[in-house]
Amino acid sequence: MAHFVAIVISGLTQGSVYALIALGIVLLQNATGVINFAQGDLITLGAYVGFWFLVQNHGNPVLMYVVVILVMFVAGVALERIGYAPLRNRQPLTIVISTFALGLAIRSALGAWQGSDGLNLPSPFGSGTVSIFGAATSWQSLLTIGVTIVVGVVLYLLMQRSSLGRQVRALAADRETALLQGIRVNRLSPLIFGLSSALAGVAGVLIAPALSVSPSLGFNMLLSAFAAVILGGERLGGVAFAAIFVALFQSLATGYVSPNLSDAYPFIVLVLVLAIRPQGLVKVVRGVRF
Amino acid sequence: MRKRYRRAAVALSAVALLAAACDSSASGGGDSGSGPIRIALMGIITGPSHLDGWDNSFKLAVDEINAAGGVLGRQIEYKEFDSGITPQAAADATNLAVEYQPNLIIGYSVSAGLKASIPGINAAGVPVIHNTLAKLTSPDSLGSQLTFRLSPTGNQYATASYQYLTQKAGARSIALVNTQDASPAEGAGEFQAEAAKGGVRVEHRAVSPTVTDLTEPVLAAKGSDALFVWGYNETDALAVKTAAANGYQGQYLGFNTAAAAQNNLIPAGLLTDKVHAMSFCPLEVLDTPAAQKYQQAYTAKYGVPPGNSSTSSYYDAVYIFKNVAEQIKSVDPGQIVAGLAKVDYQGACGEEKADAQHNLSHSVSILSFAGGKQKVDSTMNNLDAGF
Repeated sequence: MAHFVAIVISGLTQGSVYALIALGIVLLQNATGVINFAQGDLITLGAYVGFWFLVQNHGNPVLMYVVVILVMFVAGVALERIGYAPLRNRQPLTIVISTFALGLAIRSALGAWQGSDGLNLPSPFGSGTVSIFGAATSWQSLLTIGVTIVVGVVLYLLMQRSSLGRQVRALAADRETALLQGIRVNRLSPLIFGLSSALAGVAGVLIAPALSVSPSLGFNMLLSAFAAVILGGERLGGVAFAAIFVALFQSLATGYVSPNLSDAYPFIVLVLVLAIRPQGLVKVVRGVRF
Repeated sequence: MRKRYRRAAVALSAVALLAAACDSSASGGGDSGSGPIRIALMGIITGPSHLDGWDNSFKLAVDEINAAGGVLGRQIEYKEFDSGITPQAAADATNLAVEYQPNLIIGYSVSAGLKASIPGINAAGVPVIHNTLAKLTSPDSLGSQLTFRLSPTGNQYATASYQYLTQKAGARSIALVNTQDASPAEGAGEFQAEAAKGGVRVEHRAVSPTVTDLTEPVLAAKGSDALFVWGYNETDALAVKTAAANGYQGQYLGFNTAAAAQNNLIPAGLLTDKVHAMSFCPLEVLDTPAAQKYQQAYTAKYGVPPGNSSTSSYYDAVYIFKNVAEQIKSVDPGQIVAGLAKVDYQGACGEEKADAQHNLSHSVSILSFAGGKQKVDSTMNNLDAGF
């Protein structure tokens, strides 16, 4: 029982991080049509900002999250101004390549700023654990799951109850009609880039205590998150569900089928699901429509 | 039409002459017998695998030797070349290095990179002292007698770790986790072969070098007496943290735990008396007179104590070259190679004695972290290189 619980909690923790990454990607895609290949490097940037504030400047752990969100929001707006706005009317492929290039630039800049050696971002809970049905669970894992739930709720309320959310949903539903209705993507895109970047930053500071802060931190997680994006369709709720599903599948398959294919499981489940349901997982879930 | 052909022929001839001139200057230019002695230092200078201060030990040795009058009265000068982590990058860097006409090449920490560089090295006839682990870089595999391995082989690391875990730690069942790249995978294979001979049960997992979750391997290790992780700094750090988070109680041995701990990737509170690390040249904690002299000199020069790094051995590499050159009273490459093949040198890292396969190191240290301080727990000596 303890073994099973440990595997499930590990899957939920990974799934929470995938969900944060995937939500940021889909939010941006819905609003602007852009797939942001710099999202992984924004995760890394968030982790480095957290390290700079908490470790190098002896900051408060709670304040660290606020600082990371604010800094990453500004970084996202800057990314929009540099990598998207000037290319708005170009081919989508041009914009995708631009985001990829910006990601590489971020990675190089981080190496120049903090060096390439791995760094440690400590958890506010240290190495403390709690026993859940006999499985030793780190407080950091519970924090990751909890923060993701809170972020999910906030995003839901934002999308359902705010003017910004209505505009994003309109763009996602029918982009051309939404533009004809007067929705101004030019004003919306900096905000959405900022929000997407802030989500990446939060993912970075949540996952960094378990791993090491290095220039390749976020990119390693990005590919698995893309599997969730594809399976979840264009709905934020669907993507969050798909992220948890992919990570749980990965964790359980690693634990009970074969540990040698751990990195491949997100893509195995992607292929399997698309073979059975080409439309992805979304329609399996009823009532999650934000 | 004839004029055009004539011009083309003249142009082509000029290009051919230029290429020939460049080629002759790149190979066999050789040592003039006077002027500075040149060393080409190959390392990962850029990219995520770069380590700050990787060349500090090398530069310390060069400065010390130059201050004392150099080698055979000649100062050492050096140039660094970025061998990167890919074979192509290493080959390109080697081609640049041989144009520098070095008397010696030191470096290469990636086996595939050295392998890819052999054509350039053979063409230039320059001796190489390297730090790669794999069988791929034995002289027989490389097809070159110019290379000398300063670090232990993967086989020696595997034997040392097996001996320590079974004889010192008393483990009869071991969980082995390695990253899926060449040297760790080869070493893990050697370890499992030793365990099979000794009747020790091994629970084996191979993970990606960029693994982000080690929960399953650690849970699988919970039934074992010891957990041995062979990967990178980040892998070791993740393994130690995951082991602590999942209540793992057995002994832990990591290939790069010392470097991970030194870089603060592992919280100090997790470095208990059950956590151990492997090192072949732990100059920062060895208490021999030569190592202590090194520690003092390093701290005086750089203002910080020396850290754990495989490139610490480059300090000895320079002194080995000096020792050989002064014995044979020459820096002629062929004579240096012959001299290195017979070297028996007591360096800061310990004894460096060449065997038939040009392996210079035959011992591995196991470090512990009792009381939060790194120290040498055991040293496994007389380890067979295996290739």
